[in-house]
Amino acid sequence: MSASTTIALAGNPNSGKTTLFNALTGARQHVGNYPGVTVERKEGSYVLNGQSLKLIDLPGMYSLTAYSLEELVARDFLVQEKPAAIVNIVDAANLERNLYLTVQFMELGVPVCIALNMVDAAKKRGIEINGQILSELMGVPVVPTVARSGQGKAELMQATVQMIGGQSKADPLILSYGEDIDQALSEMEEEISATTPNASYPARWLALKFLENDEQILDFCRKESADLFARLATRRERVARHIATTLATCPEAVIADHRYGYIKAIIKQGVIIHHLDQDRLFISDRIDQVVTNRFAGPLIMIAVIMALYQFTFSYSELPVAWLEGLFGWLSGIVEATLADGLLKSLIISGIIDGVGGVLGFAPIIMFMFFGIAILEDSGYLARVAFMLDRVFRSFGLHGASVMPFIVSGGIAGGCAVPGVMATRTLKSPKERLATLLTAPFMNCGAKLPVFALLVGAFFAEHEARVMLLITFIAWGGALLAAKLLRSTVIKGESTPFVMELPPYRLPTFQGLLIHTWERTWQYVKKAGTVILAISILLWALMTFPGLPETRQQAFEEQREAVTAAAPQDLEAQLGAIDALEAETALRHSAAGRIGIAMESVTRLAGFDWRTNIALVGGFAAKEVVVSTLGTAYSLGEVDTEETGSLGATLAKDPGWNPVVAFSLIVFTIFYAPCFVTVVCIAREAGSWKWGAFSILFNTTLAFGLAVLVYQIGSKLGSSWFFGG
Amino acid sequence: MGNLIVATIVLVALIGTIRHLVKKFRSPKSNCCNGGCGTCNYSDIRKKEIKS
Repeated sequence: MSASTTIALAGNPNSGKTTLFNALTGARQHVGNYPGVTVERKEGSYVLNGQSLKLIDLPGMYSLTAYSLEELVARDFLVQEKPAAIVNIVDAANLERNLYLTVQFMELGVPVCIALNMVDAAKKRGIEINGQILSELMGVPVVPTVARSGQGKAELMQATVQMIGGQSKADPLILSYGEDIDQALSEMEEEISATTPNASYPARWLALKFLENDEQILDFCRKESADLFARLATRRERVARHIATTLATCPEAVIADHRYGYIKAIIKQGVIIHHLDQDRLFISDRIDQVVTNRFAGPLIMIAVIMALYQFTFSYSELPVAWLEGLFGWLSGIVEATLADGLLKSLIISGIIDGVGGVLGFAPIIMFMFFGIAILEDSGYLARVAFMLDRVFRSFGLHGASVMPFIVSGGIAGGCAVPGVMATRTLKSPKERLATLLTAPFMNCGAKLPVFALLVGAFFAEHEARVMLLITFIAWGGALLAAKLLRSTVIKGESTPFVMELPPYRLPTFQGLLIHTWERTWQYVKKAGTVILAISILLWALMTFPGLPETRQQAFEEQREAVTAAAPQDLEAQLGAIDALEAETALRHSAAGRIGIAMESVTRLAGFDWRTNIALVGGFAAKEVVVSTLGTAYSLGEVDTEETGSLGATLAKDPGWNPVVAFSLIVFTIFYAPCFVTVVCIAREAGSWKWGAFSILFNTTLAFGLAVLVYQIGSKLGSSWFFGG
Repeated sequence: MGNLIVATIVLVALIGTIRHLVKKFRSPKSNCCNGGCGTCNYSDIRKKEIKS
């Protein structure tokens, strides 16, 4: 064995692969990218008996049929770089599914050592695996491990090195896939061997992948020889037609069935011993019969989401009022202590009214996260994904698109950034692109304060119902946009999907509190750092340059004239002059001019220049819409002591009504994703073109819908919107 | 004096915002799943769960 012996770590996503890699390599690792793609490549080293071994952490994958970029990268690595062995990390609690990948490694003929990982967690669930029987039946070493604690890692490496030393090359596993496929395979193998004797892939494996319709292998054969490709394609077509006639399925499905058959046959021979999990699985199945029922399921889902919103708004009402009172009290103190000037304006309008507007909604966010934590921890969210899977496929998306949508804020309170990242589980690049372009339409945690502000101010009697409507609009819009994209710019076939449902669990109160606290704290931290900084900058843009001296002088003269006349309503007239001066100064500011320049177009959707400034600021982070409106209306106010909350100010403003508020809600749902999401979309899609597309497409769609809502709503009247 | 404080606060906010945006631009991944992007579902919580 040489010093440069390479061992690849491979396994399904969430099998504990990276944890084991970290446990083995410690600090001796570095992260790079596979050439030409965004998939991470992690390398590290492990020293055994003075011998340094090079370890590669391959991307998580479910199969070796290259549907996803990760699977393609991993397969290319195994074929091109030929590691001495694969350490295949297998989740002991999901043995059958995980062994599907193991079988494919063995079909490729790469030596495999199985790390039977998370045996502790499996044991807690009542599942015990007999590693010795598994090893004997599969003919590969099997070592139980617990990656988190490092248990079994030394034994694993020892077994792997022994295996490498004991055999120069593993024989590929030859399974029978049924008479039809076996015959076709054997003929195709002969043809491939005769035409491309020096191909880097084993001939039988190439034939198998050709039958599985693997795009990359089809291309490879086409490039090797057009004649060979034509012959193989004819054979595939013949066997596919025969299987379609006799079994009403396709070769891929038959091959997968036989692999699972092989795995099941092994497992049945006493590999798995169940202790106590059967009951829970049984109860879960019984619950699922009702909860995921074709008719009752969607109704239960709507009722659950409605209950979540009702719970959130009912219980957060009082703490929101306390916080509003607190910020009002703070403004009063600053008003009384500081002399008029820029510093006072910055603290009151830029910081307290800006950031306070965002922080004031922290209780709503907290209750919402608590409810979502219950849904998530109990396993209900997975059922929502399961039910939506059926709907998604009819809109050109994939079943695996559901989780990115939910992570992005499908019910409310997620984030589009991890949502975009979660699209990595999608196998087809086109379905992945459609998902990552539409997932940002979901109602992320940053959009929530905007909705909470507008719903609270204009639809206070129907908060939960309006929030449910907002959720439906976001989902409906996202699915229709996906359908549009999949029928035009990203056309392509759909790929199959199988979804597993975890058993229901009773969430622990401590777990719920930890989840809620962590997420609320992230929200508060963001408001106190990034939102604070952006709020200060927007205050500066809304303050400078101040009014020219001549115009200030003109207002001063008006005040003197009114004071000299000493009318009965002197204070009111002076107040009106102050308000006019404040608004003129705001209009004259840098941000004001930008907002006014956009007004001729945005008026069609009912947005005035203040809203325009807020929406432009919202590109940095959506919460900024609220903080900017807070600052803009605060700068226009005369007496801060008389000022109520931002919601109350908007409700009193003649330029606002329920139709304008709803138009702004619709625009906020759909317009350009925040800056960070755009960066992520561009990185994940592999081109800035898609980042720019998401800004233009989303904003155009949002504006079109907002104009529609405003124009139709204005014709019907405010009372049409939930009684206005 | 007041104006000087305001200028300093605005300057600090400007530098902070630019730094934040550059950081996000250069490594959006690390800012999300490691708990820097605000309302992330897969932030520190996951790390804690894994540690415990």
